[in-house]
Amino acid sequence: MDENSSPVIEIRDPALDGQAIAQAVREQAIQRRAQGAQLVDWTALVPELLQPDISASDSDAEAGFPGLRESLAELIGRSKLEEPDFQSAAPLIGPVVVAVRRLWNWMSTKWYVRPILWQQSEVNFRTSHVISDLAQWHELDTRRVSQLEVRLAELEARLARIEPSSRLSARAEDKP
Amino acid sequence: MRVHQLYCAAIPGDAIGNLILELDLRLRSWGFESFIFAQHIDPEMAGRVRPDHEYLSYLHAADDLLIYHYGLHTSNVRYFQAARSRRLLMYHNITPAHYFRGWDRELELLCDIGRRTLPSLIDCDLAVGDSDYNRRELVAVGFPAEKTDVLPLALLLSRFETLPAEQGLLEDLRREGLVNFLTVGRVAPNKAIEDVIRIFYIYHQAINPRSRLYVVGSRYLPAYDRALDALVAGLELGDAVRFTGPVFDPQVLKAYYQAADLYLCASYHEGFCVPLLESMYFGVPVLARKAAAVPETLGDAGVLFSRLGYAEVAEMAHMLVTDQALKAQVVARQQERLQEMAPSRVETRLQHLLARLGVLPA
Repeated sequence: MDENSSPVIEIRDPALDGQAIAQAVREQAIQRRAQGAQLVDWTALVPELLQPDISASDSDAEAGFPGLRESLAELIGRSKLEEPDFQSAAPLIGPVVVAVRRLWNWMSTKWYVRPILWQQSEVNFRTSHVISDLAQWHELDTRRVSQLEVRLAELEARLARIEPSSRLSARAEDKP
Repeated sequence: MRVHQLYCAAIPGDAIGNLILELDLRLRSWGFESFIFAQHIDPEMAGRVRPDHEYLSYLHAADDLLIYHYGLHTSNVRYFQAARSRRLLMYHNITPAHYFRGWDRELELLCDIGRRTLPSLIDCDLAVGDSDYNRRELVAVGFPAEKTDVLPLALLLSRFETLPAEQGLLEDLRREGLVNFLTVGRVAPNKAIEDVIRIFYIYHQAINPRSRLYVVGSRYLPAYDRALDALVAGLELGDAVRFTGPVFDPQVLKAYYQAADLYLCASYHEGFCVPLLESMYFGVPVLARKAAAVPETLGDAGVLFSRLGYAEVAEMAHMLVTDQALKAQVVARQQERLQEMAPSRVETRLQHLLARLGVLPA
């Protein structure tokens, strides 16, 4: 079914004959359009998407260096350190090696290393967010600079238009 | 036991803010100590909401529950990430950033960062969407499905129960005997207000000139506002389209709903769409675009349009306004749908969620 033949109206209430209603609506719309076409300016309804006034907007603002957002998202995602799981590829004795290493870690290093991991995760986490905030402000500042540049160009153009006429009037005033 | 709710901005009349206040009421009635924190606090809300930095003193309280309402990026999301308490994420959906492209760079950026931050919240204890549409978005970014659930925003309707409509306004809206179309919500590009206006234009020009469109909601995007004003002027609709601005007073909002003959929604992106529920509550037939969470919120109630044949949608609107038998059935089905999301059911669901988190007995 192509886009134009698919139904516009959809009624899902089983107590109503949705298809019949949609068909009646379609026929009525065709009939009304034929009868009163002059009442509606159909050309005024296109384009369907409302377009921003690009000159007045900030869509031309550069959004920082390429890939920054992706890098920041990845940084935040990786900020929390994870404890590695022991693995061994050794045949037969592999599970024993893993169990011994786990036991040794539990006895000797776990209680010392884990708080450090937490602290480091906390630092990573805060750092990544500070960087994220700074990047956000950088983008906003870039946008403001861009807007100011547009404004400056407008003012310079206006000034250029005013200057010759003011020179002319100044010369006229100089004449006796 | 303490339950904290944390969010972006406490503004009177805001849907998420209203939900938070309703949750606060219920949590207190169930014996919890309940606190609300926000980054930005409107002076009117200052008595009920505390600055978010005050939450830091509870950051390491492991027995507490922190509910984080996420609908836009705010730097206090880091409190949720760092909290040692049980953590419940309530995801109200973040509008995809591209809807703001060219209209508002700052909002585009905040929405973008908000969505990018979502995967970093995965290790919370439970993540809840207002709709299954929102829940599925959580799963799509990596939340384990078994740690997700749904809690509809249907608690919000209780504020209308006891308050009368603003009588003077209601009389004004009905005085001229015009057919009133209504759309409610922020005037934002994702809500495609331009399509609401164009559908209304066909109706007003070709079907019934004795009609008016009320767009009730805050206008906060100057570039978009200018484009809409230009569209209204270009279509020579003049006074027939009225932008009311934000309406925070439930009595005023009630008057708009009670005076409405049709609720028209052309939104491309909604995580739930509270105004659909409000329209059902006030017996206003709904004609809405079949997009995002809208079909889920409506269930098999209301009438959907799937693509934009302006003339057919306008004709359907006319039928919903004039065919009394059809209107009665649509409204009746909407009422049934509303019952499926009755506040009492939502309360039970909320208790179930709190039980899942171990803060209420199962």
